[in-house]
Amino acid sequence: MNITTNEHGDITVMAIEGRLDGQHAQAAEQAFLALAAQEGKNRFVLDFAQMAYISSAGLRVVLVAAKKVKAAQGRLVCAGMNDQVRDVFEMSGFISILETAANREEAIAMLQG
Amino acid sequence: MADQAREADVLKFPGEELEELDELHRFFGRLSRREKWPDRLTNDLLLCCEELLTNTILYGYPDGRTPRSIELQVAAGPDSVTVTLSDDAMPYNPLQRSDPDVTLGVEDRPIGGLGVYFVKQIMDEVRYEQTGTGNRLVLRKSFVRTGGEQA
Repeated sequence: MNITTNEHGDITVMAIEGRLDGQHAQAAEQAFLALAAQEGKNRFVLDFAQMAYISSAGLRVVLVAAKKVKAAQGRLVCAGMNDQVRDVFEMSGFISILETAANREEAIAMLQG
Repeated sequence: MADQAREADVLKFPGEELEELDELHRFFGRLSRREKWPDRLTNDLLLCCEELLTNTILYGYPDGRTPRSIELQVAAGPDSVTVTLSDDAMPYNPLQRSDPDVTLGVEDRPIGGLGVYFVKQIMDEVRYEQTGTGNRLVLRKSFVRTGGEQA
């Protein structure tokens, strides 16, 4: 798993590449929490375009992030899900309780709107 | 039950750390190419095995005992796959867990509890047995080949 972070104005994009699973979830959670701890950051895109696979351990990271952002009265958009990730989001009901976008650009536009 | 003329493929795990999941992905990658499985089937099998294996590695040996013995057997049939996960962990039937409420919103949603639920949702049959030395879970998933793939 690789994580890269970009800033678009006051929107933070965290892109996760590879597998967000039991092996990598903790590192991803720590990376997100470190970002969220920065002053004034409360609008995020989780870019999954290069993410091959997610399991319940990965969903845990997404839920922790969503709770954190909600508590900070911010917004979080999950973007660029492949079929496997979408299946898991559907089974877990996350698809109905989180904001999603087709890709990073759409997600940024949603947050700017 | 599916035709199981071919001998089952077996993968053994030391069961001590989550880095072992790499091996799980390589194993299913090889099987998937050989059996020409649809991607969704491969991903479903991977997800279910990861969920169960992760729980066993993290919670199955509360005394920290080693060595451990965790074994995954996969019997690939023409239209179904049977996966058997055996371990020598503490006796525990994950199927007894109550299902999570997947309609709860972000604030009310508890962290965790989804892995076993995924296994129950995805698999056509899930059976638990307590063995003399630990636990055995047998999972079966039927599938339909799309296009002209031949096993």
